[in-house]
Amino acid sequence: MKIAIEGCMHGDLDNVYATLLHLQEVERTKIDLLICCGDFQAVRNEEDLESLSVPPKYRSMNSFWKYYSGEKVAPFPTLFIGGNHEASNYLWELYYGGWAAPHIYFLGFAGVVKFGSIRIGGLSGIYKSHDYHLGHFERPPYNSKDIKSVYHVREYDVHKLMQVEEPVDIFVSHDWPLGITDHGNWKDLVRHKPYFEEEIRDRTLGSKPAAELLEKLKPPYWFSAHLHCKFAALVQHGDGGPVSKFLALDKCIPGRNFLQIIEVESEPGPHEIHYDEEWLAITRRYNSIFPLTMKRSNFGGKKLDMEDSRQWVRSKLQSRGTKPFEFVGTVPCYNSSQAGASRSFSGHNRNPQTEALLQFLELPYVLDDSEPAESSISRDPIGYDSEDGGIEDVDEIQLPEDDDE
Amino acid sequence: MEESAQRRERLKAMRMEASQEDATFNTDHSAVNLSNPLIESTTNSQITSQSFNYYTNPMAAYSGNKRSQVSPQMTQDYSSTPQRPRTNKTLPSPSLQPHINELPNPQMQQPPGHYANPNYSSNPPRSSNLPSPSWTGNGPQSRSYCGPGGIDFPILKTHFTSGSGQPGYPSPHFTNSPGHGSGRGYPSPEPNFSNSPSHGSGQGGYPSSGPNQGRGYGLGFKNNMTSGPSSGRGRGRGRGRGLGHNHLSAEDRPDRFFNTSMLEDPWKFLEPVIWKPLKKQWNPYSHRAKVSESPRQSSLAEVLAASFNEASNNAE
Repeated sequence: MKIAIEGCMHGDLDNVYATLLHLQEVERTKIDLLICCGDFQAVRNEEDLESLSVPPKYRSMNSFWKYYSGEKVAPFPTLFIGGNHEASNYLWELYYGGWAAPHIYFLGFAGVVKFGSIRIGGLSGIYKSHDYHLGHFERPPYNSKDIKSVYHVREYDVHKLMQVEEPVDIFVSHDWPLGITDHGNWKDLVRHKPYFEEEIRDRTLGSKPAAELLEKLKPPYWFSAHLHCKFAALVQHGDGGPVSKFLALDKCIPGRNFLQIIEVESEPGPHEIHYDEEWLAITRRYNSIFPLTMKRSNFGGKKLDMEDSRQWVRSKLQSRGTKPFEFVGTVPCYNSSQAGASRSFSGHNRNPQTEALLQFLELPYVLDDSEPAESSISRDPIGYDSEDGGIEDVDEIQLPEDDDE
Repeated sequence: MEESAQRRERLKAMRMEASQEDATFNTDHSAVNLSNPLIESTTNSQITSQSFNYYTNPMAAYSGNKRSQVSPQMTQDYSSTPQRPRTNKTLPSPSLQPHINELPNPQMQQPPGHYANPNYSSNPPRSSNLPSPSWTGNGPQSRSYCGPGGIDFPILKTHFTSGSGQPGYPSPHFTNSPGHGSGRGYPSPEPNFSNSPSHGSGQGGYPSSGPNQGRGYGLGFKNNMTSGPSSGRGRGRGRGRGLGHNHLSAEDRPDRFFNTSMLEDPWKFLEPVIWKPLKKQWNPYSHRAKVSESPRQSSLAEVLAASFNEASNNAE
């Protein structure tokens, strides 16, 4: 099975797909799956742009909406995670994962799926310590702070991923695992990205929870993006232990290293995206403590017994099958002939895919829950401000600043 | 006129007196003149064996004022710890951890080189088999979903499979894409893309030269691990063209986006490095303090000075 990995998509599906089709032609090969490492920008219409954390002048429809509407069809099964430039209102609809467009599957804020016999896990967002222990309190329409915190990784989602015991073949995170630069040619990295040097020296470049997951899951492959450059590393987990091949990739620009093709052993096709039994069991088991407010939560020692949930999910999947619920559109698609027309944000939509999955798991729908009383709990303003001046700003505020590099 | 003649006599007498004094001075001080090492090697070696000048002092390069060190007043004791500007900032060394020469067999194999599909020729592209949108309405709840705006949004089935022999798999030609029809004569992809920046690949070596990017603002931090004039933490302001995406389309010029390195093994020049457990390794907030307290690493000059002292002691 040949899998294409792409760094930051930035809504540029047309160019990535066209490049892959060209690659198939000139190399006379066939790509089975495309995995995107975040900043996908699944923008369906101009309303979604209001939830996209980029300066207004960079709010562009790009090309996802064509695939959402059916005007175009993704030529490859596409799997993606979220980054820090997303239509966060749409991804929140699909918190547990689901089809963002036909043949384009969102892995969820955290998730594991199977593609053929390959098991793929992922964590959306980027790590910011000041929001890590909070719940998912943000609800659309987002204010100026929530639009930036909604994509910050939360401990709850990481904790769920830490419960995964069966081997994961490929893991995807938007930001890099902390310390990964020690396992590759960091001198070359610093030479081309000198402003990373201080973070590398201070050991603050990357995501601590991603590093924890790398240490726990030990996947043969780990892919990331976010820093708009290519960087490879090899991590060995103990003497004689398994090796994780790490690769970060760039964004889609001519001449940049935004794609990588890997070949993995797998069973013969056909290959499709399927639900993962263990992950659904974890999702069902931990949904009762899903934090939905700003209140700091502590999941550190919370390890729930999984066996009953696992058997229950297995039985359900045996009767229904493991294919995800079908794509359903929830909002009108962008109409280029009416671009710029006045629009009003319609708030949260209950996505039928999410409703169906929760119904299947016999779980309540909680994504539109809110507890006003919790809004009085404020975040630490010192920590919030101090960390916003970090490396994140390079990409968040000046998204295209290094286009000319 | 007489005064003028007397003055000339007096000046002449003064010149003669002065020339006699010069001759006397040169004779008296010839023994302490700095000798030319290229000519008087024997004499010079006797002198340098008794003293330690700038050229045999590797630490002199670390002194902020070289001119003061070439002065005859330089009387440093080189058995003591050399002095140099100190910095508490050190870069992490990627080779601190042991390297493993052999890759353990991961669960999945990474074949080297290109990924020619042996089945490709026997399974020609099916350009007409793109999965077309089929708005069937059998969603999870077997109903059409009405969007919040009151617009019926059709439901698209997402049966999408891949693999050999699987019907309906998209062909290499994206027939749905306007302007990207079959039969287009794409230029051959070039391994070294003309406007490709130099970064990204190139895992095979650690070039030790090359200027820094010349952007950003310096922190005054000079290290001996990169050869650039200084390291900086740049924000890169003012470098962009103003818009996020190039206007060049891969549907028109995919060769400008494609690079054969996308098919090469990006890990082929790397060796695995053993992962240090997070609990032992990572504590970013306490690390800064540790860095400042950690003993600084010996520089090349310090090593040379120590070697010189060691050699001198052995000679004695």
